[in-house]
Amino acid sequence: MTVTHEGVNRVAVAELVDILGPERVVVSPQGRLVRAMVPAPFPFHRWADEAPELAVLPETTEEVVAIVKLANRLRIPIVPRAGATGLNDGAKPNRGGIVVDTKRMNKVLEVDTTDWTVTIQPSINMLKLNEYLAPRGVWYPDDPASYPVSIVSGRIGTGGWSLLGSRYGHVRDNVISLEVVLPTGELLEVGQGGGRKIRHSSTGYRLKDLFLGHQGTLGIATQATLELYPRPEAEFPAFFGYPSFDAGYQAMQPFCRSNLATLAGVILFDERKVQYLRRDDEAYIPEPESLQSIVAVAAYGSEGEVAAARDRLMRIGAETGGRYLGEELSELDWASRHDRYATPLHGRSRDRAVHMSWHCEDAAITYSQLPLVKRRWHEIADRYIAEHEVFDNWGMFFYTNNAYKGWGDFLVEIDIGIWEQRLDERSWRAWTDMKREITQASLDAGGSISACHGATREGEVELVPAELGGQFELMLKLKRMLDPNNIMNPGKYLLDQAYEDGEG
Amino acid sequence: MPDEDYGEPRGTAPPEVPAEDRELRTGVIDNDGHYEVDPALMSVYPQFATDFEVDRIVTGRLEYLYWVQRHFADRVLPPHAEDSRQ
Repeated sequence: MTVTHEGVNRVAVAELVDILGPERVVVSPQGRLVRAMVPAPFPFHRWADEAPELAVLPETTEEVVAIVKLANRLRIPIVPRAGATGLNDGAKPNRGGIVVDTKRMNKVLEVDTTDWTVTIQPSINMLKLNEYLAPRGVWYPDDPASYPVSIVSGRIGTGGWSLLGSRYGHVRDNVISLEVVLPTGELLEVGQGGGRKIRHSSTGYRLKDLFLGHQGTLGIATQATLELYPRPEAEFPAFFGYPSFDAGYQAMQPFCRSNLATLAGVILFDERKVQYLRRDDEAYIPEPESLQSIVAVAAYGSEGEVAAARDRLMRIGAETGGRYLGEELSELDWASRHDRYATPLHGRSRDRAVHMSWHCEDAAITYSQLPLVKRRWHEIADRYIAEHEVFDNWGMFFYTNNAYKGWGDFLVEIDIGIWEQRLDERSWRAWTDMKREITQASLDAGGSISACHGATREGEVELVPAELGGQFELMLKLKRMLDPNNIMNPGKYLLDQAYEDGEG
Repeated sequence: MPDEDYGEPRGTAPPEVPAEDRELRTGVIDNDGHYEVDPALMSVYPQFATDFEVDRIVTGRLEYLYWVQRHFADRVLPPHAEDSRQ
């Protein structure tokens, strides 16, 4: 079967205006250009080529159904877009077409304080949702680095990771059920089985996960029922300094295995990250040169439990040779973890001018492989940086990655500063080559290409079949079954291969 | 959206001005209809800032971080039990 896409013609525009009214069909150049990009490294030098032909702003499930049916009938590519804060490129079009910007679908539909769920139109921001929930004493704990700016439906589309996942789980654990508009326009309710508030059942296949992390290739979420938790009475964050990366790496294990139910996360900073933060005086309180790595920990829960956890974490810090870095740094730097988009989007380059923007590459890596991956990633990044002044190495973080526990595999992140306004074809090629080498190093270490961003971009997506093996073949079959005309975010995840069998 | 715990939004949005009536401010470039900081300015270090501006930025940052923290827990515990400090 060969699928041929059509552009957005006058008939399509007229029908979209009939569905939405003229004010919610965006055709202006500015309105289209801003929906061409995401914070992932972006080829600014070919911005205009990346723009959609138009964007639409639905407010109801019925409108989304009508838009998708129209696109499927006319074979027009369609790209779901939520907050567009992701560090992959699921929210940007590869083939023009229609961007379905869902940000107006942001209503709270029900707060159930008996069964402890909240049902929403999913394009609400987590910070705003929690402001709504706070007077009711409940809380939705999803906490990405983009917490104040990203929105739930984007978190669903990327299957996101949460800073507090070791205590409260990640997006997959806290989305109980979904209403999804499939690429053919059919409406599907999918969850754990039973009604939309059932957390666990054993009836049939576990299909919910299929719609958590598909990067907009399988449908558009129009409603979600989420888990609620009691709002934490207390938190305790603590930062400990160590004289070397190895000392911090060794200290991480006792924290991660501390047997504390309130432990929400552990983060290891390597020496390059400490160096970067030391020079970026807007983000960090300077510490002596003898400090070469940091372990940050945090606990959340009832005050009595957190107080007990505090005592144990402070003892572990002392026993592992860590130097407690003080209340101010611990409290404020941990608070800044909830909003990493506020400062590091602009960072200092090596000559201390402020002109670079922050990009991070991530992977899921087991604890035993962290030192190897750290060494390999730095070697790769430094080699490219030596040749291209538009890149800089801003160091690495290692975060707990396992839901409800602190051990196992870790989210590994290297932050690369990029002077995007100076990107050209040569440096863009260097970026994707660097990315590919970083990705290969992760796979060589038995890791996953990505722990939280997804893996749809050039430089990583080519290696997805190598990582997934037979699972990738199943992905192709599922894609073709659910999206027979390949209209939902075509060109992502190599899924076009599902339509390349020569038929049609 | 109720905002009892976090305060009301402050100020009002400026009136819309047609794009053709806007004058580019010094240090701003027009990149195909998008206004951006002139990249040449971003290679200047240190950038000029008055003490008032530095104080405003630092104070604003701290206020913001405390405000963010309040979204996650009612209080932050100190590193030692309060009665152990006496």
